[in-house]
Amino acid sequence: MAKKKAAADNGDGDNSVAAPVAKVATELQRPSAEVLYADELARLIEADADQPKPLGWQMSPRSVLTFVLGDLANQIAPKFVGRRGFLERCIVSLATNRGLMLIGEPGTAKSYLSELLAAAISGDSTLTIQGSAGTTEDNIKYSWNYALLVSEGPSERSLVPAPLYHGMKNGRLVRFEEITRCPLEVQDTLLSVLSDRVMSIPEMEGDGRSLFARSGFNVIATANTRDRGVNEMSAALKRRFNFETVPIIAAINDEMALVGRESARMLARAGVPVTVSPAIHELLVTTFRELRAGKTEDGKGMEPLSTVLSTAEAVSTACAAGIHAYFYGDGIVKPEHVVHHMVGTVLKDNPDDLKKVRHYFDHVVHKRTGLWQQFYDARHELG
Amino acid sequence: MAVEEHESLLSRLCDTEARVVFFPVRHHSPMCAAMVSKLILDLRPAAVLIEGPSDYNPHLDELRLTHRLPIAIYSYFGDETGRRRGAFYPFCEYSPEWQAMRAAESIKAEVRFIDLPWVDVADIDDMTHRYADAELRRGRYVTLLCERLEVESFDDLWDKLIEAEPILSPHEFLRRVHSFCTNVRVWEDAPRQSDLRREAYMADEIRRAMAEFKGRLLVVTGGFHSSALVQRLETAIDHQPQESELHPSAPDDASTSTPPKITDRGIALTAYTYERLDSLTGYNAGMPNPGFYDHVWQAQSQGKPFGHRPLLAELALSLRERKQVVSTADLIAVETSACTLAALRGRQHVWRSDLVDAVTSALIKDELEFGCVSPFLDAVHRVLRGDKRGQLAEGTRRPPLVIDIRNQLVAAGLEPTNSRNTVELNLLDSNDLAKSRLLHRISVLELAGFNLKGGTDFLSRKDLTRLWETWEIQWRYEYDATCVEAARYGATLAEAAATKLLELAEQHQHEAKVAAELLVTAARADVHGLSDRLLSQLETLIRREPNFLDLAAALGHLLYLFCHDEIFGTARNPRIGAVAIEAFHRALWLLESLGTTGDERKLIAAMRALQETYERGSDRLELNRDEYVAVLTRVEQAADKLPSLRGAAAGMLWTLGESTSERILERLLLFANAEHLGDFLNGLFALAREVAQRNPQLVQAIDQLLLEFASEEFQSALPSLRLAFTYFTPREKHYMLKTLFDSLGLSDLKPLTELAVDEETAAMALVFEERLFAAVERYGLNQAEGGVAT
Repeated sequence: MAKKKAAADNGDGDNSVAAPVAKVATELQRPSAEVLYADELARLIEADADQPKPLGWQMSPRSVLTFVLGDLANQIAPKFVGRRGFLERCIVSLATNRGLMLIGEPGTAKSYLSELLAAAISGDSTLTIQGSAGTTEDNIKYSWNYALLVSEGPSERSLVPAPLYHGMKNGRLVRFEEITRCPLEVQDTLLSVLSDRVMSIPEMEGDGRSLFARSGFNVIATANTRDRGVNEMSAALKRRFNFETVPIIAAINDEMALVGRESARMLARAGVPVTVSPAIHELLVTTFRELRAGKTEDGKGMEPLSTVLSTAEAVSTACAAGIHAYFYGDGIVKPEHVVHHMVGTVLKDNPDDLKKVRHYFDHVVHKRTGLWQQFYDARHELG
Repeated sequence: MAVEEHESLLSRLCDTEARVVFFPVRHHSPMCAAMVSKLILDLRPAAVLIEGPSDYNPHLDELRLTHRLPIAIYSYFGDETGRRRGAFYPFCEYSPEWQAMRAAESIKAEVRFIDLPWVDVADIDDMTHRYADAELRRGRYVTLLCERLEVESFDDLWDKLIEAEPILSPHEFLRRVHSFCTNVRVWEDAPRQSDLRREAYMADEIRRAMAEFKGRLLVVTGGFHSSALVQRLETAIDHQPQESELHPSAPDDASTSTPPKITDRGIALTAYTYERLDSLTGYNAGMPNPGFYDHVWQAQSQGKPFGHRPLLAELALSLRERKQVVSTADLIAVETSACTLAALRGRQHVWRSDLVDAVTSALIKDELEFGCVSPFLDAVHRVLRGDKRGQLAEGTRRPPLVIDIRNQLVAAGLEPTNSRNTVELNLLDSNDLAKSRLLHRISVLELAGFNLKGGTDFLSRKDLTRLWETWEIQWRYEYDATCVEAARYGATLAEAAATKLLELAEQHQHEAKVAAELLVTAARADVHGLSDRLLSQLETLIRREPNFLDLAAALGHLLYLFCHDEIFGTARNPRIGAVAIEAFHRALWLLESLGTTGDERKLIAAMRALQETYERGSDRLELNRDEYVAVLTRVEQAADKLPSLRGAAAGMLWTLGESTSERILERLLLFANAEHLGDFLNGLFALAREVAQRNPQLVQAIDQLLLEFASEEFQSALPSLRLAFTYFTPREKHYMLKTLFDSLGLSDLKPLTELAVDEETAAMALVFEERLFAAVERYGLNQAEGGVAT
């Protein structure tokens, strides 16, 4: 999601804003935010050189907000759709002595937001720990170059720093992705680091034994709500984070615009000259929103699906429908293509969900007119 | 409007030297309140004209009594169609209107309300909170200004511009508010009819006051009206074109041309609460968080700088009372976040939204689900809301409700006396029914001294052969107090009861069943004329209700009211019908998604409610037969549903004629094991009693299955089988057995022969026999035995 959205915004925005981006973007498959928006960052840093900033930050909290939400008057592209109050809270959390935990449904651009914040505050979004069942303490803190360790003993030369070490040493933000996928004991590595801001390296001697964090260090963790329960977080660690729920895009028009933009871009990249009509987008986004919320737009209740129905999933469904229509159809995306590809994206492996979607077709889609009728007629595609 | 014109209008509005000075307010703004009393003391005007209901002018003295605020002026009326409506003009300590009155009193200036009475504009303006901010909230200007000033909403915008400004000179204040309000007005597409009508009236009142008083006049109105009033009073253009707007003849406003005639009207003071003030939403919303602004006002009026700490302390206490863990470290985190947020937002003090955001950020450790209330946020909102409750001073005219209750009780001869009075009512008698309705309304309002001791239970509907009630009435000390307290619910008993019921329904936000029970209560108290809102509330709840059993119970109540009711007058009420349809379809959906557990007895009762709704209602309600049949068929076939539920669905289909006895027999074979047979039959018989007893094959098939059961299996199946057959009366059972015996060729139907030995011996013999046969089987002897036999 993050990747797609980042690129979309510069494609969509003012040309002069996007100009420096195009060059870098062609060389790298996915440049990081600080490279992609180097120009914007430089201008913002210059503009508030004399503003008070939290220690170790490269720009003031206000400029961070401007960077994320955009300011068209100063040619700063908007990058994230969200409420101002929510972002203010996130930024303020990072300035305090607690870490920031972004939680939310998958596909709500949590990682993208953490990348933007790290790029704006520290100028570096690459100090990233990817949480998984296989993450160990070595991946988080540091490990050793064993050849050097054997020949020279423990020293800074033989130590191989991991992102947390880097972040503490240089006063940077560290991103911890999908923290709840790590086993509990690995998560708790962060405890002393977050409360005392010190990492002890017992192998070293003298001053090297403790690494004290420089100002500017903090942790942004992300966790998705569907994975909670895989590994809960300990209460002690929870206490050291401020939690912020990243909401799903609230306004249907914003979401439709985003899906339209994204799917068009992905189709263009795939070399498929098909445009998905706005009516199809409306159909798709409405269906996704209704199934996700368990409520129709006019307020009738349904059972929400157990699978994730993020904006990102809607984009990939639209895109798949476009490719399908181009190669196996007459190049016009029709409701049946959408139904066909909903099976793959929406239904995944849960038979209960199929039942719910069928019910949705019988009770909600059936009663609507226009394209919805074609949508209904294609329900046999659901299997 | 040209720029110069706009500028000259603004400088006129801000001119405090003029004969008529216009003071703009946002209702319930402490800053406006402070400024208006300062200005009155400075200017010493001859009269202060306030945007308040002019029909209250004769009673202005009442406002000078020592009330405990918040209180409200309550304006109400009834029209020829029998509809009763009311609207509030609430005042808090920090209301600019209230402070203007206090300041005017202190310099002995005349005070006058100049707004058009609400009754005269109610036909085109239905807002019940007359000091709301709807006109300031809507419109593009506010949206754009919010974006420009980097705030989220109108309330934050107002805080940023006015309330949270530490030093604002009176002149700067006037300029900001006038210019903001004038811009809102200029950007609006077309002013509303009701505003035009009110402004014309206010302009006339100001002209009258100009003629009457010699000195300076101060006009205190909503800032939205100030510019319009200046233009009406002072521009050269004559007002004829605008006056014509007073009598609109637009065809789409047909209702406005001939509003129903007002039959009675009144205006009185009533006690109010911060809770009520804060609960208003949408266009009826005024300034939020009265507790917070009260706190701001208190600090301001004591000359102290505003500090958020006391609020934070109150919050910590309230959270700990709710058993939420809030450590000192947490409070430090909240405090730091709040201060940092305030700094980020360019403020010197921690303000309203900073507190809310700091708590959200530092205390909530879980995802915030959309539309769910977190206990932390709830506590913050409660602290910001405040808990002040108003009280009217001694000697105030009694609220209309109290008079209404007394009159009705006297008329019915049901006044509470010192001795206990027991009243027995027969609900089929129209006099008694009227009394019962009166008493039910009173009991909804929880007035002390009225108790329902017994009577027909309309919720379980077990015995409807006699419709009666017994009440106990006795005067109690709290009676008067509870009457006055209830006055906030409305001016008449019927209205108050309806409002109270609605409030109850809102407290049970998640339970459709409770809401449906309230509907029955509403019917008993005969407030269904006013219960439209209750019904729409119920409709929303039904759409959200996740529990099949509760929903079916709600459906049962609705069906009773719609089809079977004899006395409440709700039968065939189309609104109830519509909600019943909604409930029916929602129940079908929930039925389909039911899991594999559940109380079977309740499930079967719920299925019967569905069946009954379809049978009784299908001719009068638009129930979709195809859907009904399709859902039942799927449930009947679903392997993951409980046998009793599948049996019930099979029975319902059979009764509907959508299933044949062959298919039922086929199904029966599916459940041909000891564990499930009884459950399946239980469901089947409960829902298809009629058809089942007319089908002798069914009994034969069951007999066949039972014969194939081993003795142990039979015993484990026995309890549920016995339960299943209790659905039939003895005569029906006799008939079924007779057909079975006939088909088996057993003609003599007589009681079983008496055993020659006692039960214990017989049981022992059975056990022995059982073991013998088991041994025979184990050694493969039965084959040989068969061989010998042949």
